[in-house]
Amino acid sequence: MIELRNVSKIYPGLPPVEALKEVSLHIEKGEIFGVVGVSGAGKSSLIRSVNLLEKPTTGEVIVDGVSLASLSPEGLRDARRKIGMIFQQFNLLESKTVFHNVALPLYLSGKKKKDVEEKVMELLTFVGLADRAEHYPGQLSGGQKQRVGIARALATDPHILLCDEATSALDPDTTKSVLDLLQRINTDYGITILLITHEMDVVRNLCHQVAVLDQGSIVEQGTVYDVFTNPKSQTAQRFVRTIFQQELPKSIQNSLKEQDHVLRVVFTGENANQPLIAETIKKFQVNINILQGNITELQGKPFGDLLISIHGSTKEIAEVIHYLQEKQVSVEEVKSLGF
Amino acid sequence: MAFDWAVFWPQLIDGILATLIMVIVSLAFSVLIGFPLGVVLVVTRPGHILENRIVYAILSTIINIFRSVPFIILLVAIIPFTRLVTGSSIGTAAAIVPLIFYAAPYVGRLVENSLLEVEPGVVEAAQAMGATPWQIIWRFLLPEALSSLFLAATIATIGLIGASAMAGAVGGGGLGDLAITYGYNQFEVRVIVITVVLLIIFVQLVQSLGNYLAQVVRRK
Repeated sequence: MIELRNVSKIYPGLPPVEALKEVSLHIEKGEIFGVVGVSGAGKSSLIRSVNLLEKPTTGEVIVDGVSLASLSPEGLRDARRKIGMIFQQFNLLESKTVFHNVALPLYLSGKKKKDVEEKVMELLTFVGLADRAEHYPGQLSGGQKQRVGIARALATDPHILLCDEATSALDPDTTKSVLDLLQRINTDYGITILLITHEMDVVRNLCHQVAVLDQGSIVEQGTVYDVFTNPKSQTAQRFVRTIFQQELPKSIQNSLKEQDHVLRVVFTGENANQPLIAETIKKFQVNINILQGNITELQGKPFGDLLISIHGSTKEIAEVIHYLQEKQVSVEEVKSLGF
Repeated sequence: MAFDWAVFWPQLIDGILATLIMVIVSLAFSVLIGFPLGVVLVVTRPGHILENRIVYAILSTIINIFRSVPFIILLVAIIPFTRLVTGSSIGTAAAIVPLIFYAAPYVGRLVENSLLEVEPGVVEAAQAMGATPWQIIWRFLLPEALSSLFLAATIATIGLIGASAMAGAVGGGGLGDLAITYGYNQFEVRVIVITVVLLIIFVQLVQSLGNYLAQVVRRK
């Protein structure tokens, strides 16, 4: 559906900036694919290369089996009509009504007035803003503006929707409702969604697949469940930590004694439902103290992440670790607490 | 010799009309020339929709050259051209030619500035939805810049009112001419006061109208 082959983007200058380094991605039809990275990681260049708002320096972008760079200016404009895009700053026309904003893409392709009216009202109803058709963007909240942006992006019946930090300017509640809307677009219309974000929470709530971008390279890629439960790269680990593990409070760090061992225990799937910690305490007569914990659901599967301290002899602790690992739980000793 | 008011009043009416004609006609031509100039200056900029460094550099330089020449010099310097166009180098029609030379590049820069105020994201959104360069200009850039364009037109008009008064110095007619022949050459302070007050009223009216129009199309 969307394929990036060895895409590099270099901005000339002194020194030249290499925003993307040999990025390859494959995004299936109907998927919600998230690209996460800190600012400056190259996310913006990446998403803009998919509709050629940014021309890659080298490499190929293939959408629906067509290499975009091979198209004539007119062919590219037609291709872009099938790729909707929404933006962090919404980019609506402030001088035009909500209706006109949504109708614009239809006017551009020369649609008849009557057809335009019908389509626009249908879209505004879908995003829940039918009663705001005659308002101006300046009279709307951020969340409403983004809904107008979404309606506008859907006006030409695209197969793909690109979301450029679409919720980064919104508060948490509004973010949630916009994400729900994107979810509906994916399930109801089967539209493939590619989004870039620096918020891991957006990826967790919406995406099926995720790629982690760091300094222009993709350092990790996989299903959201795999990357969240078992992040391999340091960058991915840092991102996962932003939602699952906060830094341990100083007072708790200080209360730990020299001989306490701190373990990170990660439950995935089935074993997340079992009372393993209680069983371990009964079986081994060790003291276990839960320092921090989080049990959540990722793509419908439970996932638990605990930080525990154990007081006991080295031998006892080794036995505990062995026991837990036998139960298919991932255990790792945490050496330093200041992340 | 006492000042003859009976002769002066009809001349004042003629002067007002001459000023209005000079300003309106030269504004119309300046917009006709300057508006496309401003649009081209914006869209040929590096990174813009029709990036073209050569066109941009040439236009920008020409505009700067015309804008560097003081109006009073320009007035004299292009007399041969003026004579070619209007058949004369004095009179209201002859004053309009240098006024256009003066104001068109100015309007070009003003339009350029107004269009540059439009959020780059709006252009990006337009490109993402497959708009042609022509559609981007007419359906995105201009509507979004309209309020600012009205203010730019106000500034250009007021600039032209001032310049048209100076055109009086070469016999262009108008309020400036009256102020110079009666007020300056014959020390008739009352005429200077009357013409200056009229110019102030003109400027006030134009500014108020411009502000009003800018406000009406502004939706923020």
